Amino acid sequence: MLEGLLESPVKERALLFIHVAGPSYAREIARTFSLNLSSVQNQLLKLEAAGILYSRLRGRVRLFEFNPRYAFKAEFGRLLDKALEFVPEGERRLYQGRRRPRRTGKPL
Amino acid sequence: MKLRNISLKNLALLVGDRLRRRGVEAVLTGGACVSIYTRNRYQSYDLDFVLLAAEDKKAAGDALAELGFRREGRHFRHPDTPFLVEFLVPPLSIGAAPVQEISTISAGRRVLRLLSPTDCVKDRLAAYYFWNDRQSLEQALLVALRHPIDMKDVKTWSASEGMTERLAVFLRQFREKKK
Repeated sequence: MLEGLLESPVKERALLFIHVAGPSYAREIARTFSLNLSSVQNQLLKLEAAGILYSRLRGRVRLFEFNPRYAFKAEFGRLLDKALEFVPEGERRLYQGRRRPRRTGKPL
Repeated sequence: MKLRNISLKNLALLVGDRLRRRGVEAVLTGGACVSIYTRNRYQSYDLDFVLLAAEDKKAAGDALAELGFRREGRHFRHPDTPFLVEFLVPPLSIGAAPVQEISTISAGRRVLRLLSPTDCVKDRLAAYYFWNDRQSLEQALLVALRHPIDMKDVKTWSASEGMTERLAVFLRQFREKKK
């Protein structure tokens, strides 16, 4: 969808994933799309350096999310919304993993 | 160059001067502006310069290397001083709004470009608005109490960011402390 613009399918998937799912960590993005973990980490760090994402540690996990102070956040969000419309239905489900809580000890 | 005991303001002036000599346009933002405008009532240790052209990143790094700074990840560190310098990529903005007016301070022939007091307040308020950071609210108050601030601009910008409720907290505390 936006590969021509972003020049990286890994970056595109990471951005769309965070756009849909909210705060996310590199390993869950890599696992969801069967991507190389270090490639995902590398792209997330580049996006952070560019001010598009920011990260914070929660326990031992570094969570990345959209930087609310990014000047083009609203416009970029609308572009990602549009891009999502073109993602095939089967792949779109990958961006919508379970986010609601599950009680400790509850069998799957 | 030896930088032992250099103040944040003098270091900012020195870095600003070296950048200008290399033709690099950069503006000091963030907590360092609070330190300068409050005469260190809040002491920042980060000098965040926003570059006006992303391609100047290498030239900016070269200017710091000339002063004896070494790159550590995204920061630059000098063995003589606890202050860290970082270059941020454009745009120079506060939230979704571009910065329209840049202030300057000078000492001798050195000139530093930095956020105006009004934009410094908005910059700190942005951190309070978006991350609920109370320290940033305190810093915004420290600057607002010491400098003339264009409150109409602060109110218009806050409304455009959808933050009128948090603006009310700032204005209430501003009025209380000003009494």
